[in-house]
Amino acid sequence: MSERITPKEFEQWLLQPENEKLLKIIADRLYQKMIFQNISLPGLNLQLSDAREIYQELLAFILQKPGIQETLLQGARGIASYISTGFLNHVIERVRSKEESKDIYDNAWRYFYRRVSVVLSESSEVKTYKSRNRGLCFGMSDTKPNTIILAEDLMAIAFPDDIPMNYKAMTKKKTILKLAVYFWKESAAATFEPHIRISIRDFVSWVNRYVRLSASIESFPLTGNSEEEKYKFNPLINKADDPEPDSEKLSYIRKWAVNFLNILQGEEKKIFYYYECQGLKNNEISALMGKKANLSYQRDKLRARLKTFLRPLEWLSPEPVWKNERPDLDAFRFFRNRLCEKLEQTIMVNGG
Amino acid sequence: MYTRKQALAFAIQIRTCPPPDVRNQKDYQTENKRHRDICPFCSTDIKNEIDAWNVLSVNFKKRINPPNFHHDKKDIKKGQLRVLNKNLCRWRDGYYYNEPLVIVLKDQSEIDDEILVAQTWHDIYLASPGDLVVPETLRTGSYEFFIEPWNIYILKKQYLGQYLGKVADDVVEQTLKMHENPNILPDWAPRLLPLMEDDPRLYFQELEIKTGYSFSIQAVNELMEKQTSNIFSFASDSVDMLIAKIKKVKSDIEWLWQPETIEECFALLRFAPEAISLSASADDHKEIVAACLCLRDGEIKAVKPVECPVFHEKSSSEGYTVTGEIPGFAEGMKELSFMCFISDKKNRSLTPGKWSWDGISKNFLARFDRIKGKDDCVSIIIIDDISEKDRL
Repeated sequence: MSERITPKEFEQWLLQPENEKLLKIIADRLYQKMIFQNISLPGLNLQLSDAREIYQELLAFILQKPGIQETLLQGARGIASYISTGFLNHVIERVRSKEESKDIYDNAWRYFYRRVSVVLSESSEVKTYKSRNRGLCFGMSDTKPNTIILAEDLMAIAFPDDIPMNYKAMTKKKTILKLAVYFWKESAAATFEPHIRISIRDFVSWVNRYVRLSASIESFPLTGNSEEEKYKFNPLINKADDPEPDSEKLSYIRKWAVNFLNILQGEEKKIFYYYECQGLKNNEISALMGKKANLSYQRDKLRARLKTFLRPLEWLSPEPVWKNERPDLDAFRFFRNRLCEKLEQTIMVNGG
Repeated sequence: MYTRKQALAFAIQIRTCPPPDVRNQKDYQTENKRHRDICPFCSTDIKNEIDAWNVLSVNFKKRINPPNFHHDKKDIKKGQLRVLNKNLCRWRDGYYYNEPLVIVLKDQSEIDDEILVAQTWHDIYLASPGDLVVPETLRTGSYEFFIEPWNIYILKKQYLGQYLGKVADDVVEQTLKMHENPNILPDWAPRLLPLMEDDPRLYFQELEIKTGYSFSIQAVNELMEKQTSNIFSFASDSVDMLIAKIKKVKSDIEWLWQPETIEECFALLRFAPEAISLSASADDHKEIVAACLCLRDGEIKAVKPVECPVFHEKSSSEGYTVTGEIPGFAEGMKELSFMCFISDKKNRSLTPGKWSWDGISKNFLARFDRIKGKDDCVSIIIIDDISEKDRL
């Protein structure tokens, strides 16, 4: 795979109208993902801009990505996850970089990220390493880790009892070090990887699960002694359900409900409707459908099929390893209601 | 933050959504419509991203025209990473199964053109215990990927397409070892975290089984015709004589109904519950209890149950197919032969099926030209026949 063209030729090739059009399609999708994930380019208000801005950034990103030509030759398989995800990480890194952060005190998240990087780099308690894909990482050992770990594998780690969950405390050198060492130890134990290296990006994401990284004061009363009771009112741990999915999400969810309706065939529609929409009992459903046997086996199979359908979809199913993560319940409710409405219409039309 | 859920979403699109050229084919209008009706990615604009990357990649290949893409297809060697032939991609149940990349596990046999392969996937974040992530030092010509030692199948040589890279011999050997024992992991391989409840990797494994099945079934259809069994050595026996011979070695054996033919004497064999190990009933996994008849110089020496885990079952208008594993027999046992049947107790009818068993992976595939009814039973008969001259 050593065949290559020069960077200039590659750029010219990318700018050919056909390829430019393709990159714009990709930029459209990335723009949408950035809106959903609330990631933006420095100085850019996504809500007030459009995908053209993202196209320019994507083009620049591709042109400077090492090994991009070889990756393209591998086919679509790896590119989507490799470049698209790489691009979103690149945007995050750019936002936090020195060059882009002249007013870092306006962005507490960004400030915290850089503060952690500086504190850990200067510390003798931990070692820092630069990773091509994961940015700056920290750990305790020179031996390279040999376990494949994703950030989501570490997100269930509980916040320590003895560190206050507020932003002001977070920025102190002593607190950052204590928290980093704690998180590293817990991560090593959770993954049985004694040489684990944690990216600062993942560490900050974990902190942000418990502490609002904002300079504005956010207080909540501490109650009870147990961990669960004490932070009962922490708004990050006990998030209220979203008031309502936004219109972008709703348009996807409507289509997904129809997709699942179409997956159900023949009598499956009725079985699903009676059990999941009407909440009828086994004997009632058997009687309605003129069956002697209990249909719970079929119901279980349909539930499993629904789970398989929902598993890869954003919002509708939670990340399983994040024990305190929940699906967007309103999105799911909307999905279920929509599905039930459609099922009812179908069953009525077919004389159910 | 990249999550396994996102990785699963990409995997589903790459494995089961029609690529742009197929989506625009008039011949596939019905299939494409069905797919759009049920696919959460193609019915929205989510799929546009992968499609665009796909076309960009094809365009770039045309621009650069790398020499590897014209690699000699005849020069198939152990350890090669190859993509399966695009012509084998098929529509099934509303999904279009795209060609996977496989590792060749054995050099091509001199006798026939069968190739043993293991399926692979490039995104290592979907690997789970039992998979083998290939480190950079043991591969050439390819980016990171992992091998699925539990997803091994036989293909015809002509099913293999473009050569993409190669792994070291040790990787192939370890893959075969892990197929036998998924708990083995070579020192050089990265460790993988255990599966959690509802882990996206579980759903990915289901997807991989369906993908492998879609491609292996086509080869199996050709290979299974070769299988024969040698029950006909009993053709001169009466049914009663044969029943007596079987009862002599296993007195508690029963038949689903009173056999009237030699074939039924084997196909309707049923073991007493106590003859089957506890694991069979304690486990939730489906299995078929096969009957193994050990013949020595034409004499029945033993009849024993063999518990065969079932991997996948499929009923369609074309018939019924079941895949699984027959454990406990050594590779290359030429004295083994097999039969499979669906027994319909209500109508007292027997339907023989086509059969394939791979001595290396131990996987079987049985296919019947009829649907399996709710009360029908699948029987597998294994004949282990060694004559005096074979033992010398």
